[in-house]
Amino acid sequence: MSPLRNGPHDLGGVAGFGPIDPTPDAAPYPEGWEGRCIGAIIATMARGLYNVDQFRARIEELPPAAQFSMGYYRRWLHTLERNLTLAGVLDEAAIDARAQQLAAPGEAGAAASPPPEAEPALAELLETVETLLCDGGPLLRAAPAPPRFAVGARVRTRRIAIERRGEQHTRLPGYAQERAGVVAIVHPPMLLPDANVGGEERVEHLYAVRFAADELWPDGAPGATVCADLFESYLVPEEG
Amino acid sequence: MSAALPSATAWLAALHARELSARELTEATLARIDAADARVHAVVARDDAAALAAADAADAERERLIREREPLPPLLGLPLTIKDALDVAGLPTRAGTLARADAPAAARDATTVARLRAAGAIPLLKTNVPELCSSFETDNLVHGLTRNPLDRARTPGGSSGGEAALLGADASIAGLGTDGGGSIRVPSHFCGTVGLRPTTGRTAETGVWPPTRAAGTLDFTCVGPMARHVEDLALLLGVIAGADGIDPYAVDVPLRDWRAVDPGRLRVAFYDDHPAVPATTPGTRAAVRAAAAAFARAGCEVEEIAPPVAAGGRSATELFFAAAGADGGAGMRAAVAGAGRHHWQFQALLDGAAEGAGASAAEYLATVREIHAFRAQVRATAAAHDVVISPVAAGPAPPHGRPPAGIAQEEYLAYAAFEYVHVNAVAGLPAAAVPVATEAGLPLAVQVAAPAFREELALAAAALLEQELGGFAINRALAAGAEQEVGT
Repeated sequence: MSPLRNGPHDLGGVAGFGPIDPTPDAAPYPEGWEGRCIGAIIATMARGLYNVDQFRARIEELPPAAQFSMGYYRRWLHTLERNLTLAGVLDEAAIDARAQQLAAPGEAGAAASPPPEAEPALAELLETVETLLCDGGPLLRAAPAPPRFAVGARVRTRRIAIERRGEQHTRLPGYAQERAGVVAIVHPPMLLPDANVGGEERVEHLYAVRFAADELWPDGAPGATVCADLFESYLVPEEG
Repeated sequence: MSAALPSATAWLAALHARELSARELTEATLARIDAADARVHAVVARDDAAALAAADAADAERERLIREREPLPPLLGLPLTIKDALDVAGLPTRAGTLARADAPAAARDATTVARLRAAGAIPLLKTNVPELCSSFETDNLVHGLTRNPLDRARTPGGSSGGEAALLGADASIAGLGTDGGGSIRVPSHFCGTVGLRPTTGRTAETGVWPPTRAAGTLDFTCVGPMARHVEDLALLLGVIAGADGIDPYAVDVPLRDWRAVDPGRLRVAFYDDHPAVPATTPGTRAAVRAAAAAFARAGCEVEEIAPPVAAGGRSATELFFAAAGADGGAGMRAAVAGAGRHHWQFQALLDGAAEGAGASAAEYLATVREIHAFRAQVRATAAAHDVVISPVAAGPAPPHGRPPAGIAQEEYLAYAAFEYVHVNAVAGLPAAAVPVATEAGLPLAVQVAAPAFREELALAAAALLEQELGGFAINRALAAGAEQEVGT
């Protein structure tokens, strides 16, 4: 394993999860709550309570065992609760108390649902959600400077170590750190996730960088390539 | 095919009586294993030509010894399978890690394998394990997933899962596994076979990869026999036991004769639940009580006791992992350096170990003190009886990638289902697994622990349960049922 991996979420090179079993007509949310979880996340992100990189970071803070075994939507529920707690909307004691109420048998559990609170700006929120779903997140920004690298430029990735999982975030996977590649596409500039996770808006050019597979993996097939979308500050010019 | 093939002991009698040759038995065993392996995917390394040459040599040696009126070595001509954590000369030891995918053939046998070979046995082939033998699911990136012969959607357990899968398919005659924290007993339980973790120090670890004596777990890892019949556990243990002058923990303590034990006079203690296990299935608890009742019927003194809980408050599972992870995973990382990729269960162990960044020497020694105190406590209970019966795990074999019944998916890597086997691993006591019941169409074993170096008591008690409650016959009945279901 690359020693540069940044935690259990940094999945490149972790294998053995078994085959994917795509059942085409399966219910998308087998237990129902998963759909409501997505709804709550979209609504709370649309209100600006946290951003997509904070959403990701608080999944990444989960300890390894939880990371590998909670399942997709349980992790989403975790980041929803954590981000709303950090935003001051919920507190942990209230979440626990509510969960215990709901777990209570029969009437007690069902009766525990509080009446929905009045939503002063529901129409406005729905409009924001619609925009978010149709047009995507507002991550594109005007370029602060021309791109540093052109298509065909030879680049090398830096080491970006995450010291505090859950607070820091990077889109540079461990397996692609300190590796040489070639710029294949220059994308429009976007918010840098590594800064956005801390609420700081820093704009950088984004590049698709192509690596030889055997540059990334000891058993990579010769001739095969891997492309990764990487931000400008992840890259330095490759010498020679 | 509800009846099982003969035991190793019975095959040896036939070999000694020249009713069949070692070549015939070896060829027939290879054919059975080939057929089984198509379903369970457990064989990782083999050299059929070398095995058949060894069989021919055994047949020639038998003729010579009989001609010269010399005694026959105890295992002459018996083909056995070996877990891929033990060195077998001429075959690589990969232990399920890509770091050793191209490992050269071992130059010499592990001590226990050498003793089998010196006794005339034929190490036939090697069987699958999890990456670095570090999970209860036998799957890795070198060889892939091994399946339970009674239900391919379920795990055979681990880490000696390849052995148990071939034994559970009634294909291997008997073999060797290793048990640091349940790796013989858990797969035996899941596959409806029998296995014995000997007393800590009873067998030498030399030639086990990775070596664990200099790790935080000290003397936990034991090489032990796995089989379909209890008498075969005794047969192999008698050959592999004893110091080798290399492993600092292995000692020579006389092994007593299990057949001299009167099973009706055993003092039996049992517990069927443990506060550290979130939920033990009803069938598992009933299996322990059925075993207790069988001893009572045989005339034994039977006493229900409280499950062992360490004074320090940590469970045996927590003590096991505190010891194993005391170096922050440095040993594991060194062992798999260069692997490139890992199985997710092993990766999670590595990630988890890195989180703690290792214990200080003072913290580690505090853990060792707690382990020794727990060891004294559990050993005192065992010494006050002859055998202590408990579950092996919280439930029967789970589907691949899932923990046993009653354990939440998030607890998959917390190993809470395996407190029962960790108790005897941390205590360093001998403990056998023997099938006694079923639940949801799957076999259930109980664990039979005995005082230190009193394997004969565990074996005699396991033999009584085998005779009274079924043992491997349970596996055969389930296999016959599964075949019928497929047929209809």
